[in-house]
Amino acid sequence: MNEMAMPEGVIGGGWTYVIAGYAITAIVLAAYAWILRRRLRRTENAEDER
Amino acid sequence: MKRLRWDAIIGLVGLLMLLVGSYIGLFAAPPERHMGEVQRLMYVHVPTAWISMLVLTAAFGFAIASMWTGRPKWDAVMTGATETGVVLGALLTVQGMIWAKPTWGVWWDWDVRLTTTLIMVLFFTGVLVLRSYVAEPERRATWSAVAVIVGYVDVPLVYFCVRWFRSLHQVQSSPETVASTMITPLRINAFAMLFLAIWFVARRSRLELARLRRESVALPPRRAPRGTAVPEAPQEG
Amino acid sequence: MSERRRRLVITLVAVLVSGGVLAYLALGGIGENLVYYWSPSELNASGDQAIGASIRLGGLVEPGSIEREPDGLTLRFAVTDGEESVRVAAKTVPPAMFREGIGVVVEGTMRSDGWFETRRLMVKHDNEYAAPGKDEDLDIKELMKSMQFDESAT
Repeated sequence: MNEMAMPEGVIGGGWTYVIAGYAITAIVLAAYAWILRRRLRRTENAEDER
Repeated sequence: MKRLRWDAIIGLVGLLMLLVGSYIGLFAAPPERHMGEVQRLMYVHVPTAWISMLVLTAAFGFAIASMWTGRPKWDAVMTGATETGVVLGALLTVQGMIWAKPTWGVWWDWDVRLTTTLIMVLFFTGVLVLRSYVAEPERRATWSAVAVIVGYVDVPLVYFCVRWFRSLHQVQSSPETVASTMITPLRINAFAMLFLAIWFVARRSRLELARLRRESVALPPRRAPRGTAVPEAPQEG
Repeated sequence: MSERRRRLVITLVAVLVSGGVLAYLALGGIGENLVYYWSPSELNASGDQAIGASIRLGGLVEPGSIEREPDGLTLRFAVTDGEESVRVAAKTVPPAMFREGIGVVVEGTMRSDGWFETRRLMVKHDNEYAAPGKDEDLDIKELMKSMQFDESAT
């Protein structure tokens, strides 16, 4: 890729970074949603047991 | 579903919008003339930045409401907003590093925008840690609300520092400096992130409120803590 | 003092502390002490003080100044703020966006032979995002805005 005659001053390729950024966004949002769900269930179940 | 709460609907709308906005951003929007494909990170990075600051601003408001009324409800919502702000802030930092490497050439530098953002994430994490260490509910509510109010000063600083000081991070863009084809996915994802954040805050607040309720039930000395001897039925009679 | 009154006083103090710090940072001229990078003019004005010190220098890559040494290891270019410029020798691979007229921040030190030596070359993007094919405006004055030299002028 570096050997190709890229126009000066332009980032060539770069999809790896894009995929990494979107993947991390998806993972963090999904993980937080999942953790919240688990914590909520536990707390509310414990509450129901009373 | 048994009951679809209002926050679940908002969360679903947020998720759908994030999918649509990201699809447009990844496949329909043009690459940037210099940044190429890497610029597509904008459609997640900028909404995350906006909404993390917005959510922490809400936390600041809830902290004042909590101090004003002394009601556990506001304490719980403040906690929800703080934790959501921390999650989005941490995500923001990682996204930023991923974008920085190909554009600036480095993963990190101690410029004022990056430094104040890191302080923001660490400080509000500290507020959550503080909460877990204070057992007495009223004291916990007061201390964490005061911490949020004082520490909030960093949030406008994150926003304005690039205008006040020299930095590696560029100043805010505006509709005049961004191609119109890039604005649509940016707006969609900004609202998506807003709705997701509202959902997170609502869920986390509900959790905190349930915990507070549990505490206030457990607190009166009528019931002895589990595992201790209960001196209610004396044997000798 | 009642419990509620006490809480309100604490709130007021907290808000004042918060607002005070922000106002101080906004208006207090701390920008002079918090200089992330020097402009070429500031660096030149500091004279011998800059030699050997660890410094960040910021400015635009002067059009027509980029030279690559035959060894392929050193990149030479000038950084300008429109008034003065500093010659930079960078022993590093430049980021892909490096080009004439773009903002850069270089971290390194001034050598006694008048070259600024760096191993850390960072490209500073401006706040413009355009689709490919849009005409390039190589108006140095316009591009210089991204360096914020006037916002935090000493």
